[in-house]
Amino acid sequence: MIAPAKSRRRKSRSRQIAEQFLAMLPLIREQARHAFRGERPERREELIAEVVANCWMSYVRLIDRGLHDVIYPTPLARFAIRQTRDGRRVGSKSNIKDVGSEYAQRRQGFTVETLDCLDQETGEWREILIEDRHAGPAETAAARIDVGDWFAGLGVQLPKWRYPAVCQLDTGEIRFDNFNGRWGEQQHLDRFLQMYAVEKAKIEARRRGNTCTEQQLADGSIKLTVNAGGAA
Amino acid sequence: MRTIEIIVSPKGETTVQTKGFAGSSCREASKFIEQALGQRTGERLTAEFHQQAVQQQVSQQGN
Repeated sequence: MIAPAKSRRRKSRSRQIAEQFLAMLPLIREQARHAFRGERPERREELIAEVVANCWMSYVRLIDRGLHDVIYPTPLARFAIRQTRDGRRVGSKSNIKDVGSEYAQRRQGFTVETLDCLDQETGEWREILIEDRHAGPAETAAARIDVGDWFAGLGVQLPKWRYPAVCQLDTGEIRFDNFNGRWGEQQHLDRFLQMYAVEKAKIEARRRGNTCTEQQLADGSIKLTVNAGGAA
Repeated sequence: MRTIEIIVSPKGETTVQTKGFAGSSCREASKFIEQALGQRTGERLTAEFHQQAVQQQVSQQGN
């Protein structure tokens, strides 16, 4: 009965690998907790879990390459922490054009935050938006009037914009106030709209099973060619 | 070969052009793009559209 013997040996080996990793886990967690000590508790736990997952992937890859002797928790943790800080996530691609991707947000210098999940009774977002020490009394008063309309939507914080642009998801309308460029350059919003249109068109084309190629044009436009298949 | 060309300007405005479609089928072919990107602000039909051979359709999406 050779097969059961091999199977037992394989299970034993797998258990041994897992136990060795578990032995390193407290030190990995400690380093991750220290690295992300400035984050909010929920966010910190997410990042620590991400570091652990990243370490496990690296650990398994090193074992597969026969490099068991060079595996130490500190280098594993440091590498994982750097990747996590960079927005890279285990099991998902780093798409710089995906506005929802943390990697893209970090590289392109913007953040995406939802406004409609907050408690409107407490007005938490309203206060966050208004409490800007750069704003004068007149600006604050104007913001108090305008910002109430912004709650039901997806907030997009564009680079160097004082206030987020808010996308009304049901109508497609974008509300923003950049004070004729003084509170934020229009080109950042234009760039965001261009990226959104390109990615949305590609997603829709692929959803229908069509292939799609992308080409950057000299005037800054982006040309997508969707192959709809067949002859007329 | 039937293709749909989509040109997105630096300001986010979109132009959709269909090629190789006969008659009004181009409108149907590009409908999903128009629905995804916004409201149509203009349309230009070529001579081919009326000849039931090739149709070009232009649509623009504003902010």
